[in-house]
Amino acid sequence: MNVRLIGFPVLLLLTLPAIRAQAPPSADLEGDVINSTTGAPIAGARLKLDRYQAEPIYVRSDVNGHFRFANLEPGGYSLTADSPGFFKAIVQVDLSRPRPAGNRGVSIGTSPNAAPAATVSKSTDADGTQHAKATLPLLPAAAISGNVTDPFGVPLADTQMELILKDPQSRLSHPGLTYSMQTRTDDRGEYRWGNLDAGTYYVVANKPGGIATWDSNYRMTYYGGATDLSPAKPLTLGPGEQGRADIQIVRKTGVHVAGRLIEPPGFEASTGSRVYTHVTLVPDKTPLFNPNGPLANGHDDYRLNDVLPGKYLLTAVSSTSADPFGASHKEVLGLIRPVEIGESDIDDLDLELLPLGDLAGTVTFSQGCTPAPLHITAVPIRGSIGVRSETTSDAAGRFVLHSLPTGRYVIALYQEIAHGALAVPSLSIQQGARDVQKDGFYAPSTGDEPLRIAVGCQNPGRAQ
Amino acid sequence: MKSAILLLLTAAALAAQTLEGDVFDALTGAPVAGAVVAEQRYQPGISRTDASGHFSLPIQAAGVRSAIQITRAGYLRLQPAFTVGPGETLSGVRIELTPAAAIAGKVVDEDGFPVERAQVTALRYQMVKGERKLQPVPLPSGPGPQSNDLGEYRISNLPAGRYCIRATPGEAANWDRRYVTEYLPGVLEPADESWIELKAGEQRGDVNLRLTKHEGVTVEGRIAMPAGGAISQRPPLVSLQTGEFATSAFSSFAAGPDGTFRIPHVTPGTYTLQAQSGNFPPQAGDFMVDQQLQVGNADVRNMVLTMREVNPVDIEGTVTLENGGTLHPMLFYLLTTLGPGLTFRSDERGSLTMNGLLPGHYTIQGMMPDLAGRTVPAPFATVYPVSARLGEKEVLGSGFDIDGTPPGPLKITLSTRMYMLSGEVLDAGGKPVSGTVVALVPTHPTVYSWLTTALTDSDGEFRLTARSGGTFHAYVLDQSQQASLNDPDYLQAHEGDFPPLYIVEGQNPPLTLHLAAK
Repeated sequence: MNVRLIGFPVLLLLTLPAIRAQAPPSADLEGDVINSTTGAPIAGARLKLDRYQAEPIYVRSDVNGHFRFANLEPGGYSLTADSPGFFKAIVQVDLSRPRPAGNRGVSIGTSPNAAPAATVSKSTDADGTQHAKATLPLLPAAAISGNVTDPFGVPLADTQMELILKDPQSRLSHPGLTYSMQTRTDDRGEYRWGNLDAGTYYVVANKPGGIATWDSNYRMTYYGGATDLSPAKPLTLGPGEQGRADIQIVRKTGVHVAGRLIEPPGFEASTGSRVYTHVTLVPDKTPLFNPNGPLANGHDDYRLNDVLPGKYLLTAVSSTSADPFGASHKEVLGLIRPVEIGESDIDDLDLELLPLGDLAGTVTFSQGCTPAPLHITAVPIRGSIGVRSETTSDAAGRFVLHSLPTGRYVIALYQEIAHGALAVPSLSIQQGARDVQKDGFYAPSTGDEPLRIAVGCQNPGRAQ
Repeated sequence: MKSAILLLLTAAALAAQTLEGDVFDALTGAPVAGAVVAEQRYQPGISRTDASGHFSLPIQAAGVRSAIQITRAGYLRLQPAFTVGPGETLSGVRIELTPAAAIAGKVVDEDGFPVERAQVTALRYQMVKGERKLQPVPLPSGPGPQSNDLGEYRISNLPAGRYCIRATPGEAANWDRRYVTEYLPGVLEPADESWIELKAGEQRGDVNLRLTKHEGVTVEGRIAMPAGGAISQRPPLVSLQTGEFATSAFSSFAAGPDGTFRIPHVTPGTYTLQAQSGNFPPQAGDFMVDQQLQVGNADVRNMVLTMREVNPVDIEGTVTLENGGTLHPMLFYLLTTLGPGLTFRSDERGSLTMNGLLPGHYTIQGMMPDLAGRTVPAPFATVYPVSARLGEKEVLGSGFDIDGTPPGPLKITLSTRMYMLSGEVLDAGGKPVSGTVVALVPTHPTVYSWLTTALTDSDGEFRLTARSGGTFHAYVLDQSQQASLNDPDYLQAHEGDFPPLYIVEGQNPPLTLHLAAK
């Protein structure tokens, strides 16, 4: 698909007439709605003109894509254009004062930067009447749909679907890939994502959480039949293109991983109820939001079937189910650590569960900076379970993250300012001798070694 | 040594128990291939039916009832339970899957533009705490379906029945506030045309909705602060809420800096108008107010919403047993319009404190004996509430409102009275029928007693325990039709099929139910 760049009319800059005392001048706004990739007019588009605390005004574009709002009161307006199959475009139009103005708007979509901006130009008559002219290019929205079948060709309902966009600019946890969208297949095994930007996508079908419809040897399967990201076939879509990605789930047997679940010495569930443990393996560095790896439940031991060789993050979470209403399932023990699974069965991967602990730490400001209390947030990394936890450092920079749930976390720092919070970059984050700034740390851990966070000056030039 | 361990493992594998059987289409009798049979609690490990509908599933739970889940796209999910003794094979199990019905279509607005993110719901009348209410059909996974970018929606996994179709306006409301929640075919209240009758497995792909704009009326007024209170930097949010917990819809508006608010296009109905400044859910020291509002066909002007400081209150309560006896600590679960549910515990003496309740509406959603670290005395295992009086008002079914002033004491009365009935279900040939549903429905339901069900075991026997005595009807129906038991219309239509029974406290004489030939 070709993308044609289109030129926009040069903004009309007119000289201001002398302002005379007279009745409030009126204004009008007209313009065109066009297809941003072809430049063709869009007939029948609808336009909404919003003004603060006033009823919006609606018009439709004619066969030439042209529209007009007449007899407007002076004021600040927001103009939105909408047509099926396109992203909406929105532009601010200032008709409050008779003076020339140019304006650039945005398209509302998954990634507004992908659309060319709407433009507004303005002229004013000698009597103060304002005429604004807007061009609203609408970006065609792409879509991907398809169906999912099991290894035997039967449609698979409730399949967890993920969409990952290839983006070389992305600096998120998985380099080169960005956000993922999720959905589920319906009762016919079908799924759809609409309102997509042009781009290169991976589509993955994965087992649903909670429902036993997948055999342990069914594999998460990328569009194209790969079970891994690197050999997977991406789908490239131009603006407005409708892609189709049908997936048949791949079967592949693996080894089993089993062992005992060992509670720490002296541990007794305070409520007297039994402890129940979920064990799961998540592929290391997965780009997926919902990796749903092999899962086992048990009291005294566990067994994961059909694990493929590779590097994983093993997570065990033990909870008591004392609350009969399930309102406050209490996590009491946990274990998280990387494991590497080879080609043979493992029967003795015993898991020594650890009590959830408090994690202490200190924030140190660079020499010459003004120390300030910071909000310390533990954020679970992608593919890890865990719950976002927050605390605040005291005047001496000390902090404690209380009862951190099992997970692999990175630390985010914020400083409170007058109207919100400001992200504070860290210079380094260490736990014992380990650098945990980028790859994160595990909780709970045996040593309970404190975190040491170093930050620089927050207000350059105001250092003491 | 190594070989000995291997031998042991093999022996264990041989001793494993197995469930074997065949899956058929309940309508056509044809075998169903590709159905997944799994033991619910023990993932992984599934069995798929072959071309002749046959399956063989290793069972991990030996000697106890284990729930089996049978799924296949296009059929209603089935969850029967079986008991397989250690090392045994239970074979010849016949399972019938009922084809699932579906409703699909397209939602458009007055311009004919597709409406994205409209929540389309199938509703039907259900008995909720003894009251007949229009309720969404629970779906096996996730929230109800939302229309996609083409305006298409699909509600699947529906049992046969009559459904009322409702759609929220989704993105259409963002374009134009005059779009509101409507029932098929574009009306504000359910009408005859809003209902769709579906047979088992019926696929309706043409249930299209065209949303219409409603001018409604304007609700406007101002927020007044109590003496000493000032509107904080952030303007208070004013919201209109319709319906109850399950069906509530919010629209929020920020009040102006002077505390005035204006909500356009409000359609007739009963609302809770709520204003709030501070946190959500509110915390002590924030300000809020909620007020019932009846909207008709005229604008509502000059409303004054006087905010109150949020003031958590405690409710002191007592728990007693209806017919005396030793109390056991109980847990009570409260559902609230604000935030997560709350659990409170009563002690051995029946003393109960519900502390820190913020203003809002509360319902007693559940209660059960506190299992923590002790065994529950036998009668207490089946205890149930028959009354909850807050001050002078009965609140067990209706729930209660907290407005910042401590309400009168809460008196909860529990009962351990049981009304037991056992029996068997026989087919036309006099053979026991296993896996069928037997339901006891009282002719005069109460908030704590309206439906009791049991499944017949492999000998066709059932045991039922009701929470009240008097006249009942005992219904017998297929598992796939179990949902109909919540439908008062179904119950009424089939009442004549089953003779009335009179049930007394304690054990009743055994009952034999005969099924007519199909």
